[in-house]
Amino acid sequence: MKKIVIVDDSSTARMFIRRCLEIAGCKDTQFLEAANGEEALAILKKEPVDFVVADINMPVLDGTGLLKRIKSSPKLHMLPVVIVSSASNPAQEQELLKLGAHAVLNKPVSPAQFIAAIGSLLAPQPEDSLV
Amino acid sequence: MQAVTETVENMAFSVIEPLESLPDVAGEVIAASLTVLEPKPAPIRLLMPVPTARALARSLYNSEDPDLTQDMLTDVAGELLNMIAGALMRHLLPPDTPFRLGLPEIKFEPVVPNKGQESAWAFTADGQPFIIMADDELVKE
Repeated sequence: MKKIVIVDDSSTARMFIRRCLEIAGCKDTQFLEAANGEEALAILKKEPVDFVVADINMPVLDGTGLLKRIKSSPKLHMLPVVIVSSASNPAQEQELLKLGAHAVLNKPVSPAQFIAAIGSLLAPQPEDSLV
Repeated sequence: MQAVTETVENMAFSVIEPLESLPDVAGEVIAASLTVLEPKPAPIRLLMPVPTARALARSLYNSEDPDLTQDMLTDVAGELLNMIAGALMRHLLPPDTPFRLGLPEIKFEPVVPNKGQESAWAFTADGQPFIIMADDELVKE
């Protein structure tokens, strides 16, 4: 079973991203939710996950801060992080990719966008198909 | 207003229809507003009766639970406006033009379009009305 952390201060946005990922193919998946980057880091300390989807604008610790913390962690630096933003700034998007973001998506996101940007992360893990 | 229609349909998995004229929005309402900070400061607003917010929330959360809290309805209205504003700006601005949005603010009182300053468009979501208002300076871009 996949584990995905969705990080957004809006519960509506978290639910919307979850439904997009489910439609995009994440059926047998456990979704863990966090309202900011610090809450996400607390989850990541407790259990391994497959990837993180994080909004960029959040209180306490924003998406950029969360990305930096993950990429500077010896234990977490390989974890794929997808950043979602309602603003548009090509220069900032390039900066996020340089920092190690797996993809940067603009809201409103769609299942098709997730498939196009992170299709390889959505594919079932080999052990999933053995059941 | 294809940008609005697509955004709400995708977000709430609801059927959206444009209305030819602005409906009378009476009773309990939610008014959400946010400011486009860049490239030009200007407001975008959303007005919806509470039953519209309730219907969209039920559809989004895929739940018939009538016990949706006011916080959930507020969050739905704010995030819906956030996504509509993003889609609208992407539609109005040339490709790859940077833009930045402020945070949504929510009030529970009716608002009307500022004549001569704002354009307004009305829609129904699964038969329930809502109105989007955007500063004419944005629409002229």
